[in-house]
Amino acid sequence: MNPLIKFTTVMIIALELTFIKSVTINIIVIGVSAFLYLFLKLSWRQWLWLFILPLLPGFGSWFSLMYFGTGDHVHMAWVMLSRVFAYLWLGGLFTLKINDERDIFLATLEQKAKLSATFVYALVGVLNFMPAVSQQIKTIRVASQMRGQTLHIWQPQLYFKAILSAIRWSQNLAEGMVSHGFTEGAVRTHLNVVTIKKQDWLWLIIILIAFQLLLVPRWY
Amino acid sequence: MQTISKSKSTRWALRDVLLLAFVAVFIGFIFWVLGPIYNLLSAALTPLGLAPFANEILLGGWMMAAPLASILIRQAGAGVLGEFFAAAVEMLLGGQWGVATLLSGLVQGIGNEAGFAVLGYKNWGWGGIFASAITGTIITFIWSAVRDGYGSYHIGMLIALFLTRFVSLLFFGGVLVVAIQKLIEKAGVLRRD
Repeated sequence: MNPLIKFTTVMIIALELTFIKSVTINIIVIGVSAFLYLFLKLSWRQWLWLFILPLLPGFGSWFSLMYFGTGDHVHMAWVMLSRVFAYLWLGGLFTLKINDERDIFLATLEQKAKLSATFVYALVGVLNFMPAVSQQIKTIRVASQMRGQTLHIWQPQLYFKAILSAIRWSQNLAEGMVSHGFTEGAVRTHLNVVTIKKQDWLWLIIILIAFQLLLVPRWY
Repeated sequence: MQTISKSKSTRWALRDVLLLAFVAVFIGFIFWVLGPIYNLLSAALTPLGLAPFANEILLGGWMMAAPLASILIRQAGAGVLGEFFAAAVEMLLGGQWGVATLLSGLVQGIGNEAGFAVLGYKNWGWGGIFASAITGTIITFIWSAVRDGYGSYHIGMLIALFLTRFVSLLFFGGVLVVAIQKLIEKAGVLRRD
């Protein structure tokens, strides 16, 4: 399935989940996601991630709704617990595969969704910089520790130095891109032309209709 | 920088888009480093039923990408895009809320940018920054009422949560951003055409 179509499907369902107060619906979403994961051949680490990550925010909401809630708060506590799992398991269908599918995703955004090439290639460039950004933040903090200062997150100097790097890198990258032939607003040709299969559109429609039908009995 | 487009005012220049994306990634990472602290705090508060406060205290920090992008680029849409990018980074790093992070990022960006929009995108100084902190608090709180089940809390709890979030946004999105802006202006690193 084309990653952009998958993304659209996942986002629409996630948005609807925000407004649906139903444990049943959340569990169905988790179940269907779990079924699909069986075909995605996840590593045991990814399974662990799926199980452990939602525990904290899930139980965090559960406890506080149990203690400080009013009205149908017991029901809402269970809704929140299952909702956190549903968000992550549903989103995982997209995010766990994004490393393999990132290029197609961005290419689809440009070629099919007609997003401006400036945005798409800026994203490509910056995403490749992510390990360097992580390193740079460590460098900034270590450099100031050498002078006996610890930069905490509530100190403007930390952000100032990060922004200086951002300004410098963005100018360098912009110059680099232009010198490699990137022209803003120019018509581009594509080596890899993205096509979205008809069956992908069909799946999108089937999944969304099926999900709406699930809501018809009004279990919530 | 030499680019084809001369009409810089109406469309997004490559350099601006890159700056926006870099700022978002930097903020995303700075607060990613915070993840373990947030988890400890919220784990400690969970048995007391006060875990949402961990979120409220740090929310201003997660929302910093929006006002920073706005004051750096000074264009309509910068706040929304900056926060959306930052949320995408958080999602890609494996945030606890999965795709819902993106939706929240969008709401936070819109909430924050509303402050600058109310002032007609003219005030990029402390006035606009504090206005964005105020609208950011109100709009994201409405979103939390739906998404985080805040609608089911006692009124006392709601007021406490709202005040905590407001203080967090006033500090991170207000005081801290104004201080950063001062440093940037003193250093003279941003040339505006």
